Amino acid sequence: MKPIRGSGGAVALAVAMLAGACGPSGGAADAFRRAGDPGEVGAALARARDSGAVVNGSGAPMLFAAITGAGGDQIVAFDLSAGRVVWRQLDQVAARVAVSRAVVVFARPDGVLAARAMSGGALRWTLSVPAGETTIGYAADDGRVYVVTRPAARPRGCALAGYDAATGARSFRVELDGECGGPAARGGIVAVPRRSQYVTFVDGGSGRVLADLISREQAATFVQGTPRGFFFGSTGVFLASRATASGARDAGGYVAAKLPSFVRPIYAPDMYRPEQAAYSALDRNRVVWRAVEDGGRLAFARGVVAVHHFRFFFGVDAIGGAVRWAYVHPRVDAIASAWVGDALLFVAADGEIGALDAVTGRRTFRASFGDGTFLVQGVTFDAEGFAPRGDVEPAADLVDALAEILWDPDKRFSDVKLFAIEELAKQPGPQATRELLKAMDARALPYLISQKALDALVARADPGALDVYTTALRQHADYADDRPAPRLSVLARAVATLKATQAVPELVEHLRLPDTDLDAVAEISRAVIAMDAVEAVPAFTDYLLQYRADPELLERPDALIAAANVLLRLGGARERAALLYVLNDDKTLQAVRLHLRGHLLGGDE
Amino acid sequence: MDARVRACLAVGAVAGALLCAPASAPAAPASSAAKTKAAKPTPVRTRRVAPLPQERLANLGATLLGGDSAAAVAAAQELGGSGAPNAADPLIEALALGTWPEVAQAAILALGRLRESRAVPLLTLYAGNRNEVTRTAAVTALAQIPDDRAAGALFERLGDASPKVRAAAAAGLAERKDRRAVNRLTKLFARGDEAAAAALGALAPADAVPGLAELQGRVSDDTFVALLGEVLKREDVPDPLRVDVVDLLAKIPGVVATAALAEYLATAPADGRPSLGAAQRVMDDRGRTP
Repeated sequence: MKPIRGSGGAVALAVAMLAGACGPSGGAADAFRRAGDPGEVGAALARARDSGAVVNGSGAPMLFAAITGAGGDQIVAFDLSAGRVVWRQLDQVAARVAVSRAVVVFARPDGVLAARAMSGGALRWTLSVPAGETTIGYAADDGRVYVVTRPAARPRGCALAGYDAATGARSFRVELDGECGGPAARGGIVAVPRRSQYVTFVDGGSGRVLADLISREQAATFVQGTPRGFFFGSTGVFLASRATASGARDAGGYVAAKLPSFVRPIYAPDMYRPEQAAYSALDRNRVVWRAVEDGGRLAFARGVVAVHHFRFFFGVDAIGGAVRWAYVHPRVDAIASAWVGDALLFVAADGEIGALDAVTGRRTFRASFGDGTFLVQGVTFDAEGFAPRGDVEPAADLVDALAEILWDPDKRFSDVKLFAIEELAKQPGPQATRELLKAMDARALPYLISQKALDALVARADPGALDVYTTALRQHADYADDRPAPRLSVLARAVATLKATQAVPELVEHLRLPDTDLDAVAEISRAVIAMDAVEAVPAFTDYLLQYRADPELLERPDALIAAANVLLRLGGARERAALLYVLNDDKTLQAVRLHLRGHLLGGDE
Repeated sequence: MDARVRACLAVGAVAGALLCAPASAPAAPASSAAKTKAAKPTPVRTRRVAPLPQERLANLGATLLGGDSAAAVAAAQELGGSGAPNAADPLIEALALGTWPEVAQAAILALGRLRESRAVPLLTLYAGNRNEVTRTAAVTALAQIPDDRAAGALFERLGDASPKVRAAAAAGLAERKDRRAVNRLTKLFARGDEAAAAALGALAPADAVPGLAELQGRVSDDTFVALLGEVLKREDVPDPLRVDVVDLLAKIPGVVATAALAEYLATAPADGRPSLGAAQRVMDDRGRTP
């Protein structure tokens, strides 16, 4: 996404230049001399006024969607509690919508900021950034809109300007040193990330710099203003406070989740990258979180973070990383999501809106503004506290949900399918075993995933799955029925792990079949030896005698040696006599004779 | 004394698992449909053949077990061709103790020629051998043995990955007139298996033929002709059905369809049946077509 650049052209609405904007915050040394002072940071944060759960002037939980389709590019305002579109306007939204009490603000593709009235959506004002400046980002609180720009003349600095949300009149402009990221705002306080390590708190009315927080232990690439305070961080989340004025992780104000391996720990867009100010695939592939203070320490709400991965949502235990629930949205991607109260809100590309219970994953809400003529490009939510209580669908059984992911025909999600296999392996019960077995044999799945299923199955050692294994072993390759052979190696290992001697007859039956590969024979032999399954000896005797002189096994005698080992370990006098015959007969392959000589006669191999 | 038991004792119960207890074999499918019935075993020609002299038998047996592969093959062939009631024992012993593939194949085919029922478990084992030629030989041999236990392996090998093995199994079941194979043969036919098509044509109930004809287009013309050609040859199908079959063949261009019609004309009894006239007209038209 291209950075938003100042047009330098005419401004649609005259902007009054107010005097009294603060001057530059000084040189680098002055700017951060008192960075990390707990008192200053605490005092700055205490000035934030309570602006309520939602910011928009209607007081209702809302979402604002940028859509594109047959009717052109539009912005849509949807009232979640009323379940209806409040207004829609033709306009091009190039970067995220910011919400104020009176207006919503967004950048257009030409860089102009447009403000549309909260009631009705009429255009209230537009703003072009000063010529020679590049917009880094913008934010809004209940009363004002704040814009951070980088002047071309001061590439290592930035400017923060505040504007009255209702009128677009500028309240202040302050020059700041150091590279800046896009701002966040709440209750009259603006937070500006600076030099990747600092967060500067500024009075939203005057532009006076109030305090600098320093994140010593982790880069601070994002900051968010919420009713619960300002959060910042990069690979984890800090709650800005006196305690975290220096960004100490052990001060109780820091939390990071244990995430599945396929998930990038992106808690929020990087505000130093203007392209991430636009709606993008990042909104569909991220961690969705809500942090709260719990007994004086910061924690993720309900101990859960959600992973949003295109069509999939996972509720993950934030501490242990275990998956608690999974939800698969059918057919189209979920474009945006947000955690509001106890619900995970999302909007799909076709305009369907949903909410999931954050703890159970149960679908609790369904609405739509889709009409089949557009696609949603991005959504901003202003819905803090929205608490749908419906029971639209029962929570999907986790095994069923993981299986649905595994068999989803969308080929984009190999990494998620691998994850689904890993999680299936952790679920008890025969149903999970059945899905893993199916995955092992599925030609529709990439080889890596089938292999993963195979390994997971063996490691599982689920005694309740014995019937599943036995059924799988009874399956023989058959061209007429278009049936492949089962994965004997893994089934043999699984049976041996369980010491399931009941399955030995089905296991050794495969020795007499032409499709049984040599590795499987070796694996079966190891399994029967491990289980002390003497009933397998006749089948291995048959195998050894049948193939002992077959030159096709000259390069791969390991299966024959494995068969001989079964007779050596489990056989009696009759088998020993058979082995002596095999040893002494010239037709037997040399490698087998050498092996037997070593074991029967104590000779060197 | 049973040769198998002798082999058990002679080598200290070497290969006792094979020789002294029957190898496992899949059962032939139960005849679940009212229309299917177990095939009658192929009548064995009873011909009094003298047993081989003990010395000769012993020599042949030793050669079979010996270190000269070519000689062993020749010994197997002699035993198979002898028809002697005691010729099977050394063959069974050789297979039970294991040998080179080419010797095994010769021994297997010999047991088939001898129609030796005692060899069915062993041949069933070798019907699952990794070597395609060995499997084909075992299936061919089993098909010759008038023992219903043999059918199980034939049914199973209809699902073999090798088309040659499937073809041998299909031909064997057709030769045995075992209609229990129709369902599996139909699956193979639908997958375009030409050998299965011929067997199916020989075995399918007459009233199933129209349904099979609807698969035309899903299988190659040659496969479809293989089915129809066999149907034509059957005496147990009504002639109006043969006429329909001739009409179907008439619509298929090429030498294979022409050959099927020609074979029918050459082999069918000259009883003036309408299907013969229809076939002749088609041939005449094909002859006139430039």
